[in-house]
Amino acid sequence: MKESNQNLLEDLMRQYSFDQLSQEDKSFVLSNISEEEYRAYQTIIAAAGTVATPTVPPSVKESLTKEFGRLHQSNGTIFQKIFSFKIPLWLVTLLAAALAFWYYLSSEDKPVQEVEMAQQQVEPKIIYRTDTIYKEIKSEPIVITKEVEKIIYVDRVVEASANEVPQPNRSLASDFEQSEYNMETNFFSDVDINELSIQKQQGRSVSQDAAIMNILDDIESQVTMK
Amino acid sequence: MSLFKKTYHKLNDAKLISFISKGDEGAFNELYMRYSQRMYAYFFKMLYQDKELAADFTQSLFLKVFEKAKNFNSDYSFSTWVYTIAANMCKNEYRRQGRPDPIIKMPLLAFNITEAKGPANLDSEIFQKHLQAAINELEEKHKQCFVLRYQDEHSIKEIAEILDCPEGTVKSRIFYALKKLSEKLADFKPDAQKKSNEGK
Repeated sequence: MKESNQNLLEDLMRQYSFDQLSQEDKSFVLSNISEEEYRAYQTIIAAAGTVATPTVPPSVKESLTKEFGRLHQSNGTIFQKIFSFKIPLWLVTLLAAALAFWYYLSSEDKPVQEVEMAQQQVEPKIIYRTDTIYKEIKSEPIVITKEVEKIIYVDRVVEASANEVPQPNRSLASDFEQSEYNMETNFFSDVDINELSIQKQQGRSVSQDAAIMNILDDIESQVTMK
Repeated sequence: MSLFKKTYHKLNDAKLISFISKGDEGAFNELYMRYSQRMYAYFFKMLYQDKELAADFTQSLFLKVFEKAKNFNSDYSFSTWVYTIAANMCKNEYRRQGRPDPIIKMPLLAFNITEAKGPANLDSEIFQKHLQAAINELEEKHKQCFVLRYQDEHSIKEIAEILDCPEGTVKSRIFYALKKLSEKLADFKPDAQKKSNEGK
């Protein structure tokens, strides 16, 4: 029997009884085996597939489990034992919760520590910038009014001696102006000094005049008050 | 739960065997659940329907799987691999006994056919017992092919891999086994039944 014929025959036997075969299939079957053989083979194949077998006894599993544990306990390395160690789920959950709680607590202080660390680590960089500011303060000007009476000197004609050369009359005011001029120019003439001394002896002092002094005191007090 | 527990039922055989090699008992349980009944049934059919012997061989088979797990090549089918081990165990057992020695020898000739009403009406259980007895009397190589093909539903290619022989040889052995069985069960043929009834 050819190998291809065996395949086809087996397919037919597993699916159809001899009566269910078409004429073409029947002629094919009969060209290889008899009808009796076909029926017999088909009956055997069908019965073989339905042979009842008992279930495996539980003792096999028990002894295998023990043997498996013993085999891997004795031969396993320390790392295999560590990694194959089983941790209960409740313990894993508890540890995870504890870890999360610890992280929560530690994270509360963390910002303060960071700020302190930042303050310690960062050196202050001070930039000095200078500028001149002119501030104009406007205020009312202080006006001092001073009223001075014009001092009038009374010339008194002195009779000159015959030896003396008559001096032209000059006012003390003009002499004073001249003396002021001389002082400014740092120039004093002997004549003038003498004349001044003469005039002082002959003139009248302001301090001797009570009215003038009162006026001056008033002016001074007003200036002080301002 | 799936975060902490491996879903072994989703893993293929090759992955399970790799876990077993590392001592994963869960993988072992899953693999045992998948193959224990099949292998026990195979040994039961191959070893003369002896339950205790089949249990012992099943246990020995899984021990061999534990020991050889590291050597398993994941490029091949685990099913083929484990059946190859089982077939070799059976072959060694036959050699140890010297020849196939069926424990259950049904008295086929003594069976009262005249009381039967034909193969269609025969009690299927009785027929199966006779069939199993006839299978036991087959040569080991024919028996292997027949059991693997019609009782464990393997393909011709898989049987060829398990027994390490060409597919053509497997087909020839199967047809030879069918022929032998039909001869042994000739008394149950319809024609024989008809003749028996006619004679009656």
